[in-house]
Amino acid sequence: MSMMTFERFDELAGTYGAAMDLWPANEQAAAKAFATTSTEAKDALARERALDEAMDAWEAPAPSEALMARILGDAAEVAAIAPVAVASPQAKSEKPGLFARLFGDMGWRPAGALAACLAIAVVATQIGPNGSNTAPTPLTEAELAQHAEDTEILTAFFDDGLFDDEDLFETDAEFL
Amino acid sequence: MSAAVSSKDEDDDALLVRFAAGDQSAARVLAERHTGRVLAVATRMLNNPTDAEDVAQEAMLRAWKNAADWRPGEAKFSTWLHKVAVNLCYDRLRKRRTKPLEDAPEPIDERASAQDGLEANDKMTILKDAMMELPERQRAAIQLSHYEEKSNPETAEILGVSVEAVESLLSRGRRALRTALADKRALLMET
Repeated sequence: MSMMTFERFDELAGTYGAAMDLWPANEQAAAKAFATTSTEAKDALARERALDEAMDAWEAPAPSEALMARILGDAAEVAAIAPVAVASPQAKSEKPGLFARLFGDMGWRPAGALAACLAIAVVATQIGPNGSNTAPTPLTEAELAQHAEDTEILTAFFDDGLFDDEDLFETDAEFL
Repeated sequence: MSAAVSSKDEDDDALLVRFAAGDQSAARVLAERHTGRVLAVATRMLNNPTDAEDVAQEAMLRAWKNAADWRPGEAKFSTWLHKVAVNLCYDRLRKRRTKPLEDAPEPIDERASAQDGLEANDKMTILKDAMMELPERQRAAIQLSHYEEKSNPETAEILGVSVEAVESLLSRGRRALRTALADKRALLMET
């Protein structure tokens, strides 16, 4: 069991709150033992428990029936428009995506593809939340910058190999 | 065991595969399983119920659109969905900052009810004000860690930062909340 100091205990409490079961697993045992002997530690826990309780008072609403109906309506609309996939957990479609069709085999590298990414993001902006077309509206420079930044953040997931490069944009574009 | 019962036990990967193959019942199970969590994050990120519902709907829409390309076993669907939702929230918050005031959504002002003298409402108004004053990444880290009880690595994955950065965001966020709550409560006591 690692050594626990009050400074570290206070830091953990200030980061994770009073529920020590949610603290990093490798420090829980030492922290729990320390809390039984240190008055300062108990005070720190009490301080954080008050904050936890204040935060817990903000309860989020359950999804309304209307929201669920809209979400399931979207699912039906997507299923009606999109081609039915081959339900194979292992095989991924070999057909080139929109990104590949537009920009060839350059792959998805944020630095090289930023301009292309931005262009597709701008196109995707014109899609409403229900997947239907909306009247095109000119974008401001600020909105263009937002798209670039948002796309950059999303790209991190793809770069980790967790999601395919052009997926979001390809499917958005299919609704145009 | 009926098909409906068994589908509720099915993992997200299998449901996405079934939805991509045209099975609408899989969409219902996925929506019932995940919409509440995504809506909760968006509600506390945006403090506007209409915007939060729009984000939840848009996040699920992206799931439907991308189901055919989902690679089972490579990523956790809920992590991906939370990442999409958090980024949609960031986008909404940025738009609020750049839009003219007259185009911005009406803020949810709960002071009127708080002024009825109900202490619980006062505390809730103070908390929401304090939460909305946090930088968006600190707010997001708190949503994921405290409210959603995500692990540090998963929170880091969703936010696109390191685990060390998550700890820093949480620490600074909670400290700012503690200070803001103390200040606002003191102010309330004076009025």
